[in-house]
Amino acid sequence: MDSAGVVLSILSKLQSLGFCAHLRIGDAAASGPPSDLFDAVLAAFLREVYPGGREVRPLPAKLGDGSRVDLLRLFSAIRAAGGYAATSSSPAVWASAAESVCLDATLAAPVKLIYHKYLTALDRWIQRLVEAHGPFLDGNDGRNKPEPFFDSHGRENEEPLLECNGGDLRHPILKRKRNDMVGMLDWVRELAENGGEAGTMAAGSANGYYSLALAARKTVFGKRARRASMATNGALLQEIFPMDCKCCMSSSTTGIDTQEKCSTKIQLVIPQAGSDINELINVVENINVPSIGMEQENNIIGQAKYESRKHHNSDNWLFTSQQRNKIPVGSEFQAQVPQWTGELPVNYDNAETRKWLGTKVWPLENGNRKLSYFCNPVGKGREGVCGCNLPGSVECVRFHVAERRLQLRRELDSAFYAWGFDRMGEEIALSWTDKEEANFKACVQLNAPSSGRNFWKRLHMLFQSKGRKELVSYYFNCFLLRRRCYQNRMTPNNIDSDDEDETEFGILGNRLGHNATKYDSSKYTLCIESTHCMDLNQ
Amino acid sequence: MAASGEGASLASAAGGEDGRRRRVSYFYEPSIGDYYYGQGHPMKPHRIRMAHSLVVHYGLHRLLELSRPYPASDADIRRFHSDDYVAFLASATGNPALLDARAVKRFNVGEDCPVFDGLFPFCQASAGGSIGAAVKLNRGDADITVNWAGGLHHAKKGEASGFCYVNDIVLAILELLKFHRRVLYVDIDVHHGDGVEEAFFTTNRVMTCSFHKYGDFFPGTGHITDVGAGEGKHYALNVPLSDGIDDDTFRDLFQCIIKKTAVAVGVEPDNKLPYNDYYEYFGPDYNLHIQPRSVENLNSTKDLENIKSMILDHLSKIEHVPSTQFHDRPSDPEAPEQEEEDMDKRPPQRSRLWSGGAYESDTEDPDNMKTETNDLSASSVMKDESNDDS
Repeated sequence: MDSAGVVLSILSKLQSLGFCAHLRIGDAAASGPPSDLFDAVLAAFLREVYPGGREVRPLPAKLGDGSRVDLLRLFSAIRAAGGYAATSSSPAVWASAAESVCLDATLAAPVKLIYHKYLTALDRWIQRLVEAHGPFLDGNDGRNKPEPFFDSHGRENEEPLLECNGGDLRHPILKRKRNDMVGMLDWVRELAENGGEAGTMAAGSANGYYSLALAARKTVFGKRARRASMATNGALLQEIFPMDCKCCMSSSTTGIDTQEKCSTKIQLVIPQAGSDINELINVVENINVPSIGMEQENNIIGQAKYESRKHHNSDNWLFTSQQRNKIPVGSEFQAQVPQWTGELPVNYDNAETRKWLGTKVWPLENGNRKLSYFCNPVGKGREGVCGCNLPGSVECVRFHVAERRLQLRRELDSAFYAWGFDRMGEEIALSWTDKEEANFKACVQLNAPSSGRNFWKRLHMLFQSKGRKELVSYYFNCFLLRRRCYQNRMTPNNIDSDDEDETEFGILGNRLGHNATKYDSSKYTLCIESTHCMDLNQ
Repeated sequence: MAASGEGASLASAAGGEDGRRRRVSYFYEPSIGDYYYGQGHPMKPHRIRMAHSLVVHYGLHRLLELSRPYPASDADIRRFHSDDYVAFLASATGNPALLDARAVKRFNVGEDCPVFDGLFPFCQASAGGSIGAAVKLNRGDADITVNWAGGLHHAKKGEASGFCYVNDIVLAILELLKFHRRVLYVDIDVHHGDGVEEAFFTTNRVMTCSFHKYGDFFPGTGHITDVGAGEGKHYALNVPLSDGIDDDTFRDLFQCIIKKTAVAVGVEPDNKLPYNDYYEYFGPDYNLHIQPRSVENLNSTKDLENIKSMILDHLSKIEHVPSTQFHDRPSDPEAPEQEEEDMDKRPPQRSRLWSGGAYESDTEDPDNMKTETNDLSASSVMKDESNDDS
């Protein structure tokens, strides 16, 4: 298949999954550079998979040195080798993938990072398609009836037909059911595109597609939003890490008719079983209301959905019941709330109740009031200026932080230790050797999330003598802190503290304490008794 | 009110509306920051430690009573959650190989809610803080209580959800219900407070009120017409909003619906953060208040008016509380509500403080403690409620 054909084939697979439904490729685009075409399709797909957007992935993709990466070729190469999951731990594959995009084999790692950033979502979906020999579905436990989805308690069955967990996709019984669903959706789409043709409609009824469609709609309406999304890591996670919807981010969308109504700013989290089901709903409803025109070109299912959810312009979005999830009622859901009798508990002052008061840490028992006089007023922040040589530098910050810690220790006394302030901040690193710190950093770098590996496993293996608590503590108190320190100064306008792939950072400033005792031994040193005594335990 | 980028707390005279000082009790478990949801997971208990560090470095502790919470036991947690679920949580370890796949699915742990090392002690600390907070209120030891490790409002009776496993809020409210006929729960997290609403959906002893983003957003519940069921009908309020609402609009809406003036106390912390162990996390500005991105406010005036009128309509349907026997208890039947906020975003810096003086000075008589009354029931109209009004 030629390259343009490859792109079209990918697009049609995506559309069968319900993505990019409104995407149409004009002739002009189809005869243009295939890599540009692919980039545009990818852009549209990513917008749907990661709506909202935490970070625009600019297209075309480029390495740090500015050289462009042909995503189409890269994707093809990795798919040919078996997909991301299968190849992520084979460096040879990535080396040759780099070569296939006309880059040096030594650039395997950055190429892999590019893949991770741009193509893993696409890879995952295509992979699912490949494994299922058909689009998205799973049925399970051999339940044959599409209804009822609700059991006698008015609560939906545990595993309704349409839930996809990527699990038992190879079950033979399910294949047939899956084909039914596929057929039904095809029929529905056909109806949408050629609305009102009697023959199509009749065909659907004969095959039982119509009732299947209604059953599907019923399921989706009743489905609780909290079912894990089939797209990525779960509904809430996906929403936390959306991507910025900058609809005009790719200037290479020439010739493609995309309907980007980004003023709607709909955050398309997929809490339910795939966006195509939602499109299905619209279509099924539209079957019953033939006057809704499907005549608009490029206006198929996806567009219909957007129209009906244009809630910023319509008056009645508040009242639509679409996507409404019912709160389940029953003894398995509600708390047991006794009737109010007006009688209060006796013995509320007993030990059993008093234990809930916990252990008081502050104010101190023998509170030393005098000290508060010397402390800053409550709510005071830092001073605007300081006397350091290089204000705002790493050393300046370290100095002031240390200063504050001392003040705090004096004021808090035992509470300082009770609250764990002695185990906070960069001082943790003092109990780690240089080598250990270097190993930690290297380990995290080598096993960054983009490599598909979990660096914690490696860390545990590498530091067998250190427990989980110690590792986590070092991670948050030193490692991440230093990364933030670096980011604050090197890339202040582009910081994503959650981006765990960012492991390329240097350690700024002197290592803690290392230079404190350095002195030039050629000079004459004089020892003088210090008259400034700061006895912390006073 | 301050301009954007600066404090946006509700203003009040120092020391509160009625001039009386508030006693604030705060729970903090020092080990909370050591719990780790796993690589790449956005929920990071470490930030509770960061918040505590800021609280202390700002000197706010001098106006609070701070305690280490008692960890809730599985029996305590079973006051709300189902036996099976609690047993699962108590036994789950961070080793994925040891987990029963069916249980994982049944209790919705896995991705959003991973099973991590120390999961159960984490839940125990979180719940213990909230229950302790409720006990303090019941006993009259404090006017306001805070537990930043709590607020896990998505957890359901029999399953985890949205990073939450044990619903500390429900447990705290159950404790409050021992002493108070009715409790008002206000949830201002951007997500719908579905776990709490569901738990009390059918009772009129707890009114849940949630302001949240609605529309293709987690968890998907919280539609304006969800008002409760059975005896709890009209005792759930949902205020669904769209992206971009600004401080002023939100405040107006909030005040109008809640009909009370929040009593914030005197101290508005400086915007320049004090130096503290986690200073670098707050770069590059190192300011307390984030500069909000300018985003289009998608809540039209019309939408908001519609919301307001629908909500007020809901409220009017509540049966007026018949005059109850006022017993000899110091405080009103309406308990002061605990505002609990989820920790998805930077920890909110607003904390209620007592202005000036030592915490434990006995200048006020605890028996005269008068709490803010909930105007909702006072001003609601008595109406004949037929069974099937929609």
